Amino acid sequence: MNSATYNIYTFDTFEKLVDRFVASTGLYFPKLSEGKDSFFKGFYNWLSAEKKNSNFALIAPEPSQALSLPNPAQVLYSALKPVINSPSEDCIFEYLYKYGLDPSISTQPITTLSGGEMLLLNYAKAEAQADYAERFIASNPIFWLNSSRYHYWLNLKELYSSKQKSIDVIVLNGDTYFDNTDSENDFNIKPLEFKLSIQEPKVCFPEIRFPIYHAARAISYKCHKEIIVKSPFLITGDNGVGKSIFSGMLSSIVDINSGNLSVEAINGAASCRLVFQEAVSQCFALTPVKLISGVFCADYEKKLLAQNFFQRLISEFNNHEELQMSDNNIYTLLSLKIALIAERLADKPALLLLDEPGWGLSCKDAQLLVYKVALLAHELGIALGIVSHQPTWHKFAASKLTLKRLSQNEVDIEYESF
Amino acid sequence: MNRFNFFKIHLVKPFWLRFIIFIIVGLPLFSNFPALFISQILSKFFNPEFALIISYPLISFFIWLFCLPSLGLNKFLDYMSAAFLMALTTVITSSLLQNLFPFIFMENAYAASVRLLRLYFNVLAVFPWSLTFINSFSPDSIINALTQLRTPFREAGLHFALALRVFQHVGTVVSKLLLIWKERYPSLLVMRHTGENKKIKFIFAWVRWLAYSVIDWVYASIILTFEPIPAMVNEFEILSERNKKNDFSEK
Repeated sequence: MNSATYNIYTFDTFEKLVDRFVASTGLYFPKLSEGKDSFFKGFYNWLSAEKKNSNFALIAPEPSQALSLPNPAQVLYSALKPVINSPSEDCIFEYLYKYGLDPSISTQPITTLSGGEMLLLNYAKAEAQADYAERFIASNPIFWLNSSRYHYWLNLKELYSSKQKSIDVIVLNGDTYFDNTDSENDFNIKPLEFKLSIQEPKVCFPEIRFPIYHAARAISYKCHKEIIVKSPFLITGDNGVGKSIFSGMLSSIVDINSGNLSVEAINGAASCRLVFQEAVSQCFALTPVKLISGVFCADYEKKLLAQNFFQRLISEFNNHEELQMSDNNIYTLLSLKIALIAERLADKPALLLLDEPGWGLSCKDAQLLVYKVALLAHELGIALGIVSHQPTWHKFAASKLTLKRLSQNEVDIEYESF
Repeated sequence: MNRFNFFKIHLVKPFWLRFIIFIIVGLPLFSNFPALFISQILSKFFNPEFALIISYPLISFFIWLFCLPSLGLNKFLDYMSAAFLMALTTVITSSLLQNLFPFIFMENAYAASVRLLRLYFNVLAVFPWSLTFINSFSPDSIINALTQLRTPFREAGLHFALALRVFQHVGTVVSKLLLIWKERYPSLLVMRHTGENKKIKFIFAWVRWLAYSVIDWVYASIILTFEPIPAMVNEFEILSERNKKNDFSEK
């Protein structure tokens, strides 16, 4: 019988974390942040590598990476199939319930789930695999969760321990739960005000009829007011409440079906730009230099401005060994995030939204990045919003928008100024 | 709604029967024989040349009817808009090349037109047919069914299931990339930052931007499609191995 061990490994960069994950699992999880050449080389390495024993449950560095099937019902059905001959719908619902997930998501495409919901689905899957998985390897297993849901991790950990199975946790330095060494730095940012008008915006998602039926759904934000918001501000709320959809509406990538949502800044601009939580995909496999050159190919002035912002933010990370090597074609998630932010700042929008800016960064790097971006944005008259449930951002925020679920389709927005 | 279930191909069971029906219905897309057969029947009523020409849209129409009940009107129209875009781009490009390099395409104008017409209707039918085909099979069901087989088809079937899932994943990747693209370029086909370029300069900049955008899309689509393959392979192996063990222990 295996003796159960519980190990926590911490790293200071996302790239080192992925390296460790690859070494532990024998699976090649590509470091897209290093560019397409590195990706293809790594993929070849995986193809030509000898097959390792792969009988483990895992949570990948990005929660969607280990969910190979199209929807939660299929993911759980397949995970349960080796232990239950024909898992029923009720059995699948039970696993979803157990991890605080609404059974109605069982037929929803995985890609439309929020980061937190994906992570909870990984938990449910890991529990379903507990009887036959030899080990459990989890990368950033708490990051996407609201603190009210941390107990689900404890339950899962307890389950694996009771079955005498080893657990390896791989996290970044300063992880809220596993390595709570939050810096005591005082981040002093002079607030900047802008007007946010919320008039009961509503978003409808049509029904999906093929290949699996999924009912239509809608999210209605029950709030009708104009607020003078103090930047930097925090958009927070429970997992799956609709934070990312709200940011999508603000940045006009999610169409509003009724009502309205608009911003008006002191620099006269009314647009909003967003840096997604999946910053790596957002770069379209481009390097920071190519990203900036491509976006501003017809606007030389803005290109110079963006390059200048990029260099200015990069220079703030003097002690960051890997980032300083970025001139030698070694790119990191941090440099990609900086490039995305620099590109948006050069656009001079009214509002810049950073969705989970801490994902893939150590706590120290994430805090320094957001602090420096806030200073630069305010200098340009751009308001800054942070979309997150991480408690670490409270010390940056001058105000907070809290999204609270009223019913399955209704969300309330509360504003609080500090 | 349920009265149409009989016509929904993705609900046909077992999965191998569904596969055979798909192949039979899609046969005209890969072979000239069905079009010639239809044109022979139609030539009894019409001019033989007209009969041949009309057989292509008839086949496409039949394939659309085959896909429509499964897809539903909205999804069908989504697929058709992409199909029309692709068909027009292919035919216009082919026609341009044919006129620019006539020495490569050694055929008369009538034969070339019929060929392009066939190509046009083929693309219009292939697009919805192939997307319906790819999404009508569930890889995990295939794996579960295959574990009960003891033939060499088992390994091939597992590879087929994996390939199918990768193709299904392409759709996810494209919709994800489209959202990212919309954030960066709200007009989708025009760059966000045009500077103060005059018309001619802007056109040159736009053509350059468009060319680079196509390259970016190709690379990003390939990379993001390949990204989860190692995890998929791992998961499919676990599924297959565990199901096989259970199957043996039951016997």
